[in-house]
Amino acid sequence: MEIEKYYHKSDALVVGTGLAGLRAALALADAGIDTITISKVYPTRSHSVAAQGGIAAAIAHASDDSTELHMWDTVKGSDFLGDQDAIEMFVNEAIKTVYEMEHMGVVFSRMPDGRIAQRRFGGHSRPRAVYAADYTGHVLLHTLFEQCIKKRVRFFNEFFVLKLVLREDGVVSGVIAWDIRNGGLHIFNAKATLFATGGFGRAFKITSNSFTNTGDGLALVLREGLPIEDLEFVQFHPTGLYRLGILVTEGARGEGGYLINGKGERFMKRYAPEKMELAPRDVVARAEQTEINEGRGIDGKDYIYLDLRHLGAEKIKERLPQIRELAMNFLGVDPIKEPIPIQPTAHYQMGGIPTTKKGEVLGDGKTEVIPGFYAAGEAACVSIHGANRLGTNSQQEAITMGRISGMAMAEFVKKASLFPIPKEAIEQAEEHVRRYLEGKGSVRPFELREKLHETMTNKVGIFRNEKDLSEAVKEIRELEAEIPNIHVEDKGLKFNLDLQEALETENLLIFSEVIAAGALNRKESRGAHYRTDYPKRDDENWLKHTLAWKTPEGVRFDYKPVVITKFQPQERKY
Amino acid sequence: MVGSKALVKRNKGALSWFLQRITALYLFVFLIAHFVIMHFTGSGEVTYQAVAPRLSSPLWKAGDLLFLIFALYHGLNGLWQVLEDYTKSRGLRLFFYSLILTMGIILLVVGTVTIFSVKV
Amino acid sequence: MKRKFKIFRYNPEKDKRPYYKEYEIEIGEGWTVLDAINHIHWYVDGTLAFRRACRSEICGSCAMRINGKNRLACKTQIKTLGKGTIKIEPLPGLPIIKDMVVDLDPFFRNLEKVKPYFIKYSPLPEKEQLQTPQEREIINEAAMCILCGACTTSCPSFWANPDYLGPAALLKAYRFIFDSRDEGGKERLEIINDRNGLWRCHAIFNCTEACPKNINITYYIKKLQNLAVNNQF
Repeated sequence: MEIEKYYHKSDALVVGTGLAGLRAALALADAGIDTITISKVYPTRSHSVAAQGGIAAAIAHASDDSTELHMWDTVKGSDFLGDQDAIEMFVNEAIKTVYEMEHMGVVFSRMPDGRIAQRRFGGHSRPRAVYAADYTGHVLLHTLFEQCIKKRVRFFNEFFVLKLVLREDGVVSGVIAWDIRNGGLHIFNAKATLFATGGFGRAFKITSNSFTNTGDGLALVLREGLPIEDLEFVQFHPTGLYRLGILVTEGARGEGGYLINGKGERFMKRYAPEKMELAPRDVVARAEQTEINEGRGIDGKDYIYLDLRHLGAEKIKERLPQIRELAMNFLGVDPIKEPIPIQPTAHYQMGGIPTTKKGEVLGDGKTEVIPGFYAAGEAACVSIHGANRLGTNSQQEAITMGRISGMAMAEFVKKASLFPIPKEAIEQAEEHVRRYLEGKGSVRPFELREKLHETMTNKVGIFRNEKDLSEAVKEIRELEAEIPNIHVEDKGLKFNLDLQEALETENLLIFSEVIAAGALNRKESRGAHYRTDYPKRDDENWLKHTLAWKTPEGVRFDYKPVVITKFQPQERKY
Repeated sequence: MVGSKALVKRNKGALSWFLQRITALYLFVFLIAHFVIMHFTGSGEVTYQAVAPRLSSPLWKAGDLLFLIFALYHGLNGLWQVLEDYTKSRGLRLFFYSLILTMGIILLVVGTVTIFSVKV
Repeated sequence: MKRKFKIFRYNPEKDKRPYYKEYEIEIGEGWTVLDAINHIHWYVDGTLAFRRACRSEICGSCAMRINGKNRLACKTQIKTLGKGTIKIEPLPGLPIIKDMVVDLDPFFRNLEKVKPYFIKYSPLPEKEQLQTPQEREIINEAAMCILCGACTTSCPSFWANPDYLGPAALLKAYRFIFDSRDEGGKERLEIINDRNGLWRCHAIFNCTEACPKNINITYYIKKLQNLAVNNQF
């Protein structure tokens, strides 16, 4: 089979076109840098589009908010694992981000006097979420896409990255990608490459994430022998539509929605008497799971209710139109008349590719910057979110860090030179695809994926323990061993969805071991990581970031200290 | 926002769209008038004696002429819009446009002659 | 319950012409058409190609023709499709890449023509530009467009004439022209005031019927036509 090769050169390369990627591309274009973006979908299909509730910034329109408070809430929300220097920079830049996005035309919801409105969100002590009804991510993403059109960013849509080119001299000089639409290898050579490849939610059975969120960036980085930080911290969103996991915004509780168990109680009073439904997500998700596990789900089943009826038809229609539509269409439930059946759903990865505050990727996870390699958004770990992210901080991080890394890249590119892509890298990428297109395996990608889903959801979920986690690591390794045996039924070059799913499944299996092994390794409970056998937070031994490398023998760990500036760790109560 | 004084200079279809609506309005009013005069008032009998004097009055002739022009414009412009959707080549478009124009002129002449030939 | 699906198939690498293939599968409670074609792809026929991403009606990837109407596969509950065989085809009016996957580049190129981005010439304030909830309401619905292409590819004027900007691009123009903060209305109106722009809309209403976000697209195009005429005559 003939596989065509195409060569592209640019100063900057952005992989992923969600909020982080597009914002970085825009920063680069603004600096006059020739920029290419690569995405496996059209930019407006990126999963940022599904973000609903809002974007956090202490612009203090609805309260006496301050950046200091935003910082404290974020640090406390992170269960003190967030790096405070990064958080401090983040909360200050956040304000700029909101005004800047408004200047690009985002249709934020408004107060009667025409200023930007704000609403409450979990874990934030003030109404801090700037929003556009319940489709904030949609308007933000479309606005950035529009601005990139204006600035003539070069889009390569529907390209799947097969290989990150990390040269032997430790420089990143681009990526090699598969043209999903027409087939063929495209070699993208650039002075600087940014990974804004998003999250890993599709490793789980019940997830709020898009089909595209297969953590491709993580796998690409791990394959090159680079570390990943804090991957054991998986956020489960408290309100996913029952059985489907489709997101119901935390804004629903921000507007005053109740969580109700099978006995009709607002059970959060037992878990977070002060904040109730607006405690951080890790606390609420655990509370829900406890209710369900102890038989207090609705009719004893594995779901509970999100009750919005008391908000009234008008407020629901104005502020939460999308979730009403979703509940009616997918569950046949009108939130104006009935409570919505919900359950926790895998939502967000707190960890990711370790970076500096400027988005530069750290080769050793600690101090050593890889020339020409950047990461931003959910794929990266700065670490702003530590062990648990607060709602509305992720869209904010994606845009803010997208901008900051884009600007840092622009500076870098002006001084850097273009390093060629080694032949071996191209051969490896070609071999990778050929293995699927010409090979004869026996196991279908989705079989492996389903098995992985069972393992991850049952054993690496909200409540974790030694036994389950060791089994999970073992099972994932067994599934990984099946990769060479994957059978791709479609042998064609054009829009080969089967090939894409095989490549994605491979990626899922590569990083999932790091999640499970990291969770097994961390013998404490912190933020979203909860060990029933170690239910307490252990600052003495575990107030540190995990760095994990893949090796043939298993995952290798190292650690780095948490940056603590203003706030000393204390007990976390809500 | 577009300020109220912003001017769109070139005519690229706006005029025909606008006239289509103006003519439609006239046709609608004329149709109502037709129904009222011919069917809902008077003796109900349509005879030469009843109709001829009306048609020979200059005011009616003017109204009928306007109706003729507007109906022709409305119908033929509509036809042209549809044909324009489905024909791409310049030649074919020119052919249809000439055809419609010719048809329009012939029908206008025939109609005008008819209107002015009515005498008591 | 078993259901039959008649699916459009075309792989330009080996098929001379498109054909339809039937699949009969067991469907579950509450399944959408997307669930069904995913199932077919995963368990029955791995060569089937289609686009999908969010599966929650917001990304716009999975627009296709289902029983003769343009819809999002993820939004279409199978139980709403009656009892018969369910026919699935690509969006009409665009080049087909494979099976349900169409080339959306012409669609996005049309979008780009209308300057689909916020334009401001006067200096920006330090903080936000003010906009009252009433001013925002005027463009709220139009800003909900997910660019799925269901509207434009349901428009007979677009089928007949691919140079027509189409409802999605016009809706985007509306979203900016009627934004109280935007200053590019005049130049956009110049662009859409064209035989292949505003004036090719004959109010067929197919776009409005097809829109999965229930946006009254025809109404907004009429608003633009009125604006253009009022500015001209």
